Amino acid sequence: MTLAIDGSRIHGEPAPERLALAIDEIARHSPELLAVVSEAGTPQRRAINYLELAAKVSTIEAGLKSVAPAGVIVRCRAVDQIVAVVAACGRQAVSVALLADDARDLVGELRGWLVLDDTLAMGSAAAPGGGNLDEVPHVVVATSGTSGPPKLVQRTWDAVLASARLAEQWQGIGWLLAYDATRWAGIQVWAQSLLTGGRLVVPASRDPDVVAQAILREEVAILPATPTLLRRLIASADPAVLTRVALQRITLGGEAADGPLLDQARRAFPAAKITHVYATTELGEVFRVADGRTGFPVNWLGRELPGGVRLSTRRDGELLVQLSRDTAEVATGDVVERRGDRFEFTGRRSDVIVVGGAKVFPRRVEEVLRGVPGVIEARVYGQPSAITGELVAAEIVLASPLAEGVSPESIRASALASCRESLEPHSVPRILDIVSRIKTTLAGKTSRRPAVQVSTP
Amino acid sequence: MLLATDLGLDSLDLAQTIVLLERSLGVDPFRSSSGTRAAIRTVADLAAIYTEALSR
Repeated sequence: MTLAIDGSRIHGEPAPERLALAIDEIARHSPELLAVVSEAGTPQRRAINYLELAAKVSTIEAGLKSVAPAGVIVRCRAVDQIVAVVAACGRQAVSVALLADDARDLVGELRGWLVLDDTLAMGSAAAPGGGNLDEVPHVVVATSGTSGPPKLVQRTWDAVLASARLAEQWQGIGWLLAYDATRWAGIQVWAQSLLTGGRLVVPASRDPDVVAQAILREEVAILPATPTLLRRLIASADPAVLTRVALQRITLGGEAADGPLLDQARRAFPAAKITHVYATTELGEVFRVADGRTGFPVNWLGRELPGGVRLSTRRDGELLVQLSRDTAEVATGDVVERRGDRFEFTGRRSDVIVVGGAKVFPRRVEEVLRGVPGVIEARVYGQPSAITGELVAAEIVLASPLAEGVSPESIRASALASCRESLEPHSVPRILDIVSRIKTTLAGKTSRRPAVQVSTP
Repeated sequence: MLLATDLGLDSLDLAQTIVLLERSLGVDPFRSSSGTRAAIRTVADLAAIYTEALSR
């Protein structure tokens, strides 16, 4: 589909205004084109087109002009509202903060900002502009808090839109928003979709069958997801639905994608190109791996990558990133390990479980558990212990139905046997529970927190 | 009965036992008081610590 959106023209405009300009332009050319489909995958599905979205943006802009807030905190739930508020703030040069549910306590740091919920009511007595006045409007987001408490990060509009692809092949296609719309990863997806006349498809929930239906019925072409979400989709959604979807591309991010998952994804979606994006909320997109293999090539270290990025490692394996020659090297907290001609991600430094002084990377243990026949998902975390500091604890989800002659207990036993065979003794899970679903964070990543929060007397 | 010598329990086994006991009994006496740790050498020591914790 050709929309005749002149990407280069929009790209020439100041970054904060681009989103609203693109929505207006698409609304002029193709007013009926669907912009946001919400509650997708269920009968409650509802959609708004670009004309309606453009109107929503201008209404909000009119309100912002009369109130002139110091900044806006987006508290909307509906994705069409969220994107409209952000686009309006951008064109009105008002800074905007997107706080996910687990980052709401951070709101105190943005004193005097106007809070907008789904009613979009602005009132008249908002705090006067000032307080946190910067020359350039920015976007404030919270980090995902996979292993620590979320914190606020201030980004420029240029950074928000930096990785958007505007070429014709990216125009007018369906994007699945599997991420929270208020998080960095989610913002990238909806901004990309709206800048290019895309159809942003928001599934009603992360239930694998709902997600699969949303992809099928709304003709989603691009699926950006965490490895955890993709694994769950492949393992648990109705295979009859999965074989009918027409995904062109799967973009994995947020966590490292392991080899077995990449193989499964290729089998489940043979027509889709699978890429893995390495990005952080602090740095934005750093690099993409498109060869379908896990990790990244060893020879990427010490040379300049596209965009001027340079990678190096510390002695303990932590990945260091230098975004350009004039910026400082940043420690990412991600640890890599050389295996053959690749560097593979072993996990986050902060995820390390320390058992009597010995370090265990939960990812490594999860890989072994997922390789056990009958196990479809695994999560490994540190169980606090007064004796050893922590113990390795794990949860596994079993295939349903189980193969004939196999019991949950026999899978549990072979999972432990498999761990004893391939891991150091202190890495073998001491607690192994069979659960119906593994715990994920609001960002869709595998959680590293203990299963039961035992209160300390 | 000595935990280490007679039963062959190492510190990981003991840590695991304590987590499992906490799941079934709802208490972890080792989390609250630091002074008791040196005293666990026998099954009887362990039983005494749990009996005391449960009676509190």
